Amino acid sequence: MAKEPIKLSKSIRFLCDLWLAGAALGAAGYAIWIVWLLVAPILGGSAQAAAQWAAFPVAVDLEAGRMPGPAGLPEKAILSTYSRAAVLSPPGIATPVGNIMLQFLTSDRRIQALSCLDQFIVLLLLMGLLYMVRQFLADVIDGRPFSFDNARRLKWIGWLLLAVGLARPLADYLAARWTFAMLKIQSAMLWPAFNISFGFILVALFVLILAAAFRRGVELEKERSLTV
Amino acid sequence: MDIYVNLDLMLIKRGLTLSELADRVGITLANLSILKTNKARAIRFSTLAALCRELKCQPGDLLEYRD
Repeated sequence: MAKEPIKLSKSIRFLCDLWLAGAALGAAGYAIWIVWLLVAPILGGSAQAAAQWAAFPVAVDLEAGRMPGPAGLPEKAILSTYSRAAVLSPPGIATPVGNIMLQFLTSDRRIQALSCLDQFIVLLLLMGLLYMVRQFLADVIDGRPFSFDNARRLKWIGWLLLAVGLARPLADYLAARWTFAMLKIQSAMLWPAFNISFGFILVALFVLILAAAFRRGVELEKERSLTV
Repeated sequence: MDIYVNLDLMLIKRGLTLSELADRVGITLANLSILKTNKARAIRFSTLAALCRELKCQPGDLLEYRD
């Protein structure tokens, strides 16, 4: 039975393709950059790279609302919330506990590589997710939305969303943990923060439920198509 | 499938082709082929009634149960 194409704005498909291409380029760029940072010293390059800003999430130990002193922290470290920044020198700047990022200049290649890790992992997962969305969209436009392939793609989209929701905070946490161990800070106590995004996980769970319902819809559609 | 549709025999008896029958019954040739090749999962009573009317037979003449 011939299916009529479903009218869907061409711009949606274009945006999807553009986003996928952007994610692929970004992931490739990060991959090349991280590999270069780690391999350059082996190939005879300098052990120290040009200074770059690195940022890591941190749960800061506050005592009576005051920050520990900056002695031992990397030079020009900035402790910032998402809404404002506080320079650590002079010491004792009060900072609220919350989503705090520690940003500092570093020439250490390993730390620079670790600071890119979370974005690289997210872009990889995003590529997979966008590819599934793109294939799904192509079938919908062709008028064939209800197929076992699309049911499978919807399930994959749910799992990839869940992976993004968990992988990013985990990558941030591990990268921060390894970096703080390398920094060997003596005076300040820094713990890597684990900022999980529950909104992302809720959406992922909803998509997984939707995928199960969609699969049932596909089975009903198949039954219907073979009813004479 | 356990229920078999014996369309071929009835078509020969009535001297009809598959496409003529499809036109008279009001279903597509593709659906009638699905029925003829025993790939159908279900048949509507309205379709069965139309087939019996055009082939001048009873449902039992068209449908056969095999173990």
